[in-house]
Amino acid sequence: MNSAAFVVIAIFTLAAALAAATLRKLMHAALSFAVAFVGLASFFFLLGAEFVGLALVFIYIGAVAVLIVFTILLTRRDVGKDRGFNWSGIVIALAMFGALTWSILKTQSLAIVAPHIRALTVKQIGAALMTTYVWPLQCVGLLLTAALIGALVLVMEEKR
Amino acid sequence: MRNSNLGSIRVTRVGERVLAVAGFPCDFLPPSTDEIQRKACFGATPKPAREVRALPNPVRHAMTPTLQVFLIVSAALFSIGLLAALSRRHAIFILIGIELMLAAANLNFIAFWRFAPQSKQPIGVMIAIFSIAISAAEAAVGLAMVIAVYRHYRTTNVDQLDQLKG
Repeated sequence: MNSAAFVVIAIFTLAAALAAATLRKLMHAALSFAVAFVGLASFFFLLGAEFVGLALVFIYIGAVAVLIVFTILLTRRDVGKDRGFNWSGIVIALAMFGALTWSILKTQSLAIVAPHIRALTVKQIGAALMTTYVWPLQCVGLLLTAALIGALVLVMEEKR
Repeated sequence: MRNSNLGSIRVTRVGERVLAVAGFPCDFLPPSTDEIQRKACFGATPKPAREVRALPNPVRHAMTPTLQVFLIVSAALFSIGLLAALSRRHAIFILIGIELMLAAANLNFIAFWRFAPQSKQPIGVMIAIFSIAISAAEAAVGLAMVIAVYRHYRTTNVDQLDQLKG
């Protein structure tokens, strides 16, 4: 694993995520949200989980970011700028980051480098999905169908 | 074939010896060659290099990122998501923050899978795949709810949605 690549990807991802969280204009925030997920997918590539990285690109940038952009366009009358900003959120987020970092650095068993493992192929993932994880897969399919129907019902025009 | 192999071995040995000798001040060489020789001399001191290489599991290797730095990046991503979810008043921003927090959790899953010894099933990858699917469903329903609330109240500011407030 390359250290320089890690630093570049980390700075890229965190900067994009920070932009998504703090930019005033909602559309800019949605686009930097997509950029943050590009960085996260490259993290997955760096860690050797190429399939998950590609799935992340397809699902988040192809579907979720587009969905967010469409929602922004559909609720446009309200969306000029996000005026309110609660400053206590910064304090809570910083405290959370400090606590997490402190506990991670204090745990000595986490200071390990990656062992050599064989590359994970899509064939292996497919075999595992179809054998060991077939019931969770069915449940996720059911959940996605329910979410689809629920989203459609929620946004349907009410007729009275 | 055999002869050439032997010859190459001999050449390396001779080279080492030459480098070891050249560790002494060698003024008869032109300066550029001197630089190269000196560097090679430092490289040729065998002890530290072998020590580093002989460690079976180097605990703190400076060049490759450890699990800790991945977890710290993930914690930073989670905190940024928490910041977006707590401090913005717009409903879509809150959803973006929740998605960022879920993404940080996915990064943790993948990092722990990569840094653990290899198991038969790619458990961490499986959990990440299911988690991505569930967070996609959550995003779809959440954005649909934002649109439904906007139709009803003509606003997406969560501070103004206070009809149930006592």
